[in-house]
Amino acid sequence: MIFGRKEWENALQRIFMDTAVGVIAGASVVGKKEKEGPLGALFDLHDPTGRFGQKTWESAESEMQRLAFNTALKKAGLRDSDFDLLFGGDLLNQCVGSAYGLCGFHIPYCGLYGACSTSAEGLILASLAITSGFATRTAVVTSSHYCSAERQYRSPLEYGGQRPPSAQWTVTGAGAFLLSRVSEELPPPTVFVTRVCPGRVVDMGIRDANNMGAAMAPAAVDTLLRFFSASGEHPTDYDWIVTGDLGFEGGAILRNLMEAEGFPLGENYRDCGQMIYRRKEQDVHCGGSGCGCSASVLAAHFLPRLANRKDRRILFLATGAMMSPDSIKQGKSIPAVAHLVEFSYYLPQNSDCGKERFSMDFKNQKEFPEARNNAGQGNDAAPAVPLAEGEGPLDGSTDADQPTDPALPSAAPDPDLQTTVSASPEWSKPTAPPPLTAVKTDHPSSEGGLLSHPSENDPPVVTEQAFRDDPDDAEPADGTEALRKRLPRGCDEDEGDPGDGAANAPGEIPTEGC
Amino acid sequence: MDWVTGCLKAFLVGGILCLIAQLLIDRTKLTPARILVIYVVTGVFLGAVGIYPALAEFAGAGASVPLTGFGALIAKGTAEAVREYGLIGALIGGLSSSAGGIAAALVFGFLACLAVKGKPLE
Repeated sequence: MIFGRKEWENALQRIFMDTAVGVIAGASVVGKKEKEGPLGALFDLHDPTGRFGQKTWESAESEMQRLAFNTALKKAGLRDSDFDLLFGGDLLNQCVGSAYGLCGFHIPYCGLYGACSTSAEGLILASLAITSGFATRTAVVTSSHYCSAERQYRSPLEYGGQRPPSAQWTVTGAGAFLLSRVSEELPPPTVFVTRVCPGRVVDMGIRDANNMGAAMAPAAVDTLLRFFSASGEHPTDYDWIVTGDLGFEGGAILRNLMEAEGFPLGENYRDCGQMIYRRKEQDVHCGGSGCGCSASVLAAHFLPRLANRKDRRILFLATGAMMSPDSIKQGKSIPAVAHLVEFSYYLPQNSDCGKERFSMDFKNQKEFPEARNNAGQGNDAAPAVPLAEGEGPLDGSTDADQPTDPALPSAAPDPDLQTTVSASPEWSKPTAPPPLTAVKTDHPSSEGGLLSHPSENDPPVVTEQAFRDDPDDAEPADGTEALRKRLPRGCDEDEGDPGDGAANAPGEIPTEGC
Repeated sequence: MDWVTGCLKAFLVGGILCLIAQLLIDRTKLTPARILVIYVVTGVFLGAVGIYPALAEFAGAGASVPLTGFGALIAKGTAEAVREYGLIGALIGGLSSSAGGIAAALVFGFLACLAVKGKPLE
């Protein structure tokens, strides 16, 4: 067995970590092709020229980061000085896209390189910075630009090279996320980062730089298996399992491998690289890729769905192919990494995500589930979300006053759900969410005026919107039949029971063309 | 009507050469750069054994414009230079015979980049 090696079971290695970090805003900026894609209406800003008023593609990428972060700040009604730490990343050498784009903000800055996994890497680090107590608010900004990535990794656009069928199209896009500690003094978040699971580097010997999906899929399998094994969760426990940019080929490989490992991904599996373009009409071969792909789709599509209570919990798994042009020329294989972040629109009751987690001896990790149970029992009488003193963010809603919202997936009736996740009881029964009013946030609506663009002569066309009330509107109603098949679930129809047995059947695997 | 049949022949031969290259890109793991090298070397070989000049006679630009034509040109120039200068001609002939094409690519590439900016394919 290649995957699912269980060496961690007897090791001291920590697989994942519970967090209770709020996502207070997200913003996305994209180029023309993405705007014309199935999710086009959801993105906050776009520029049909892809230049964002800049002279070079690299400057355009930096500008996208600046715009994305500014838009997110505007949505949250915050200033840059409200943030303690900023994580930025892109695909350019030495991360210059982030450095130039974010140098105007007076926030301590950490540049990240995780290839296309940078968005999840940043979210993990930003969540941990808050959970550790260092930061109150952190931000994550990642971007990629088709034209600068082509120059960086393959050849400049002017070369006009042919793309093989397994190639993916680097998304021109940027995403920004604002994260915040959950406390009474701060505006209540709408979405939470509830668990993070950093991935390991996996190299299965793929040497084809035009087939990154195949290189990244094993890393995704590795992270998913580690997470599912350690947490006792199952793919059916989630409304969506979202990978960053495996594309059509990598997505099909992931499905095959996960089925072989006993965790088949059902209808709730999505890939941002598959969702962002119309495959046939837009001639993108195997789908989208890049830091901006997962970041912009997450910010524009999935987080608003969570914020609007259309989904309960999702797994977000961004995969990165960690190659350089030189390593490819030297014939090296492509190492890949996949980082996992769990989003939820409620904090799990009895979760012990507070500061006391850090008093745990790291050597006691093996007893992690028991430790959590004990903490849960001890907190029964305490506010439902035992954070640090005086920080009960969710109004202390206890089990007794849980509202039963008929629109939400019911918690217990599915037997499948209970058997598969019995390993961690406090998560297995998704407790009904706290009263919606308790955590509802009215994002300050973002009307124009924010985007004072430096170049007055050549201002990009920008359109802007806050978290939409109904992101479904822009789902590919006008997309191809195939795309509609891949995005079949309207959670409005209340079929969103994550334990749905039918979801176990592996879906159609799109293989043609790859 | 000579030019019609000439165009037709050029289209067919040139099209077949390009079709082979497209199949190599789509069906094999060969990178574009390797396919270019394969085409040039094949052209050198076919030119050296005398097949390519016959093909160029038949198809005109359909055979001389694709990269195999560049290879055949190198072979032809090398052979001529060796006849003229002796063995040192092997180092002279290839570039001197193709100098026109190379210089044209540089000059027209430069002129084109003055006029237009690169952008992604629509």
